[in-house]
Amino acid sequence: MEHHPLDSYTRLSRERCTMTAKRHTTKKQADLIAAGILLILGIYVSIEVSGFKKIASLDIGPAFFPKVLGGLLIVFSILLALQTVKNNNQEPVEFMNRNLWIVFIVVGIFSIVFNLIGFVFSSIMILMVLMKLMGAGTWKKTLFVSTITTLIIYGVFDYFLHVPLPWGIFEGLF
Amino acid sequence: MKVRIKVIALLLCIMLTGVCFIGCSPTGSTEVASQFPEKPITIICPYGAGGGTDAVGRAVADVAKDIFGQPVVVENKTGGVGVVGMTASMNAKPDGYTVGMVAVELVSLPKMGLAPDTFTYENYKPIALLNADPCAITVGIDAPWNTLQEFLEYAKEHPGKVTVGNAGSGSIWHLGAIGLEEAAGVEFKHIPYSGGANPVVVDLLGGHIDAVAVSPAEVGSHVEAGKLKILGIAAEERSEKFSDVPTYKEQGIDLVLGTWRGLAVPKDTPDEIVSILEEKFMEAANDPKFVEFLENAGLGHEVLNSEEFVAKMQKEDKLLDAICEKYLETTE
Amino acid sequence: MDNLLIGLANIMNLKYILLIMAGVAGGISIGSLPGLTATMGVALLLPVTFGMEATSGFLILIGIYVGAVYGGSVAAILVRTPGTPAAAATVFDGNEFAKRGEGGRAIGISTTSSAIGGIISALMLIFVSPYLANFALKFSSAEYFALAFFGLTIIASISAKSLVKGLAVGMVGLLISCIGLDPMTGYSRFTFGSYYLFSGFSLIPVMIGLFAMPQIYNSILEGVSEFHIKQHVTRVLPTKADMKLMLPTAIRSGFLGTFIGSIPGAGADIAAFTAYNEAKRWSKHPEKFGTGIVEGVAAPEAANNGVTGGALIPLLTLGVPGDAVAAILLGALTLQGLQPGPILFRDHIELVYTIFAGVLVANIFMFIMGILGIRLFTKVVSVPKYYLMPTIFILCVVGSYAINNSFFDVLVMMGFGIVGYFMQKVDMSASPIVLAMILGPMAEENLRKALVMSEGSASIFLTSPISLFFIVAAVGTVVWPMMKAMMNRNKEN
Repeated sequence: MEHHPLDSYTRLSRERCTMTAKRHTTKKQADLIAAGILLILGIYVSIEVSGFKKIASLDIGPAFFPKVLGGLLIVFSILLALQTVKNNNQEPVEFMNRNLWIVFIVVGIFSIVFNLIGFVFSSIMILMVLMKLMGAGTWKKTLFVSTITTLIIYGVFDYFLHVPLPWGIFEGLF
Repeated sequence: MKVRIKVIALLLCIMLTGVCFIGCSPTGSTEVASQFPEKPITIICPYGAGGGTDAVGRAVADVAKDIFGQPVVVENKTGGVGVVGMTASMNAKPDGYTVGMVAVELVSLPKMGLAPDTFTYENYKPIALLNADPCAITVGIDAPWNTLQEFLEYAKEHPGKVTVGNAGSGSIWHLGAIGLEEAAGVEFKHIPYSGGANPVVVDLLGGHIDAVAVSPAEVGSHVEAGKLKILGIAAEERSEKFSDVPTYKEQGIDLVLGTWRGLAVPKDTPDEIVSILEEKFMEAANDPKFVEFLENAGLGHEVLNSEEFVAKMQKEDKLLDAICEKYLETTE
Repeated sequence: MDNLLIGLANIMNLKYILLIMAGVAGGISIGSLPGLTATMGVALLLPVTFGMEATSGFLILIGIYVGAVYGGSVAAILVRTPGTPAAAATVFDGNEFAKRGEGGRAIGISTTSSAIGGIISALMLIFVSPYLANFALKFSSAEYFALAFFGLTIIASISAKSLVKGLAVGMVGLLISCIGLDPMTGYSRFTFGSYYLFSGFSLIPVMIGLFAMPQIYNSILEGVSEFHIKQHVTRVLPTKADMKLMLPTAIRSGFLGTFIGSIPGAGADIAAFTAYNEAKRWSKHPEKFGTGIVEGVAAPEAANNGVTGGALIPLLTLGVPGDAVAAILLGALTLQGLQPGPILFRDHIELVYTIFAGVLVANIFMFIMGILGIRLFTKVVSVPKYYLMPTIFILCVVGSYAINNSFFDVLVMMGFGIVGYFMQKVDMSASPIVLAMILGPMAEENLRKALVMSEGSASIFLTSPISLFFIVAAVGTVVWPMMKAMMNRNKEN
């Protein structure tokens, strides 16, 4: 049996998980939440669809397909909930940690500033943050790598693929 | 912890720099018209690459770049059946460097409740009309009808039975078929196909529907191959390519309708710049290279200047009012 | 036959060879970038070909088409992000190879089977295209609905661990495909009055978000940056044992892909999923699919390249495009003043056979470049993960942006990225959403169109032999595994 780095890693992370299991959601809880969300979605679709206009000239109007799908979604989410309860899987699942929260927030900021400061600057920003959080080297090095990466991507898309990437407020400065 | 502080600091720095730049970014309103254009012109095409509107835009851009002495780039901004792209060009900086491709949907979409109230041709200053293609009725070569009258008579005897395919619900070809119903007092069974004119023509070739309501260009190759025949064309005059096909008018149906594509700029664009754009784009539109391109692509060549273009849109606005009302009645 | 020889002689011209090579190389790069598809690559290069003579222009586009359909698999295998929707089915097994450090082996298999599929389709194009084309014309609404319905049953076989979860996710995918203006009536559904939603969500941002983003978030969560899986490349050509496993699947899938490609409106994405499903159905060990086996890579890859030649069949013989790329190719031909269809065969037979020969040559170049590229591709992913992952993130952003030049699609991608992350956490596979989004509009539109044509009578689906065939096959797909399970139980008893 070949020893693989992943094996030792998963074992490690599993140990870490079991150690902190009390604070984590279990698979059962996670699946129930998922089933709940799907159920709500199914109910929402069913309600929304009932408000669709009927079209006299068509036997099957715009409401038919989503109505069937919404109904099936409700059925499947209930089945999923029942199955989950029956399986009673107590394995822990880790959803979030501090770094991931930071990433979600930074991605959120990125979505807001992208149109404002344009592609190049927002890309350098998010690349640096992600690289640092994943454990890349010094700030200087990440700045260098993210700038080069950004410029290469910008060049390829702008010159070769004719996809003009936005500059935001820096439009016309370069 | 350290990482997080640095991350936040970095973000703040970048955002602050951004704010500084907003403050001192040059305002371009005092540009002198005589020097126009000093930088590349962008044409915003509201439909995807590979379609008819895109082809017209790219062809005119190709010719216009030599006339302007500046690059002319086409940028496809698609979505919302054209609303997104046209809204973008309508609301662009009125400096003449962003020109919008406009199409018949500019007039028809608001009437069908598919665009906001602000979406109107009155928010544009038109530059030039570049292309127009009329509606037509095409049937299989073995169909029992040889003229539009025979076809309509049959439809009158069999109300709601004749299947007429179009290229999407609410598309100009759908409206064209409704217009024909209105003018002739008949009732078709409309079958909308999404994804342009190809799927509907394929179904006609396969004999799954009775007729299609798309433009002559979109069935041209199959007509030449002897598989389909055009019964009538909703244009003022006969087309050069299909000169043996009579118009609707010749066959007693008073309907002139079709798709068209042109260029327009936001309504606040200075008149001097509009007239420069008009002059140069008109030159491009009449360039033999552009004319040949349209011919090869099977697109109709119809050029109108700014003034004539406005008149055309006003006329269509009235014509489509009635047809769209009928459309809304049948679908809702 | 004489015509074919003339075609082959024509193609043996340095200029054409170089153009095809350039096209294939460009296509592979475009295909391997998430977000950039074969359709987009061909559309982007179309204006460049306006200035060329017809043959050169068309050959370079063919090269891009063939290259891009193949290129999508490289990213699917190495970074679990399908470069194009056609490679979405390659992720299942391909990425498992890469997780074991055998990414090079998987690319070797994918390259070889892509070439086999492509060459089969080229040969079909040359020898039987008129027959297949006439068959394709028999497809109308009822047949398309039955085909889509059959395709949707594939959800059952790709919902990895839990069937209920797969089905529920599939329903969500189908509901997503309902968003926007109803194609039949123009009625706006679930758009919340936003014009951005009128044409619904584009498939590609949703797909990239679901596949690529969860990995990035997972790496952040687990802090995996300390190591990455080293890809061992000992040889680039598949071993004899791999070849033996691969050949039957690849050949069958190549034919299947050509067949699906020749049906207008059904493209490489549908072909790849269907071939994967069929390979699994006829396999002696279906349970091993999804764990990184040779057939699991060979089937979708042979099928999606099989589509390339297949899509050209109705295009050249009837002037009717077989898929989205062929629709642009149709534009390329008409812009050159050529009308595809019987007239093209009558007046430009030499060009037609040069194109046929070009498809063959493009597939050979794709094979050579793919094999030579393995070491390069695997080197790219041996970049430390803390550089690679953020770069993939930004490529996904740009790829989503490029589809419509709209930031809205980037937001869609990031939104589905977060959804995909949580889905992965609860062991829900993202593939049913992608499959449902591909087939949903086809199923709905054609179901309703067929019923309008038949005046509400559902018997239209059973009276057409083609439609009946697919419906029986679909029912079989669902019922057969149950029967097999029951028979096994009986045996044990």
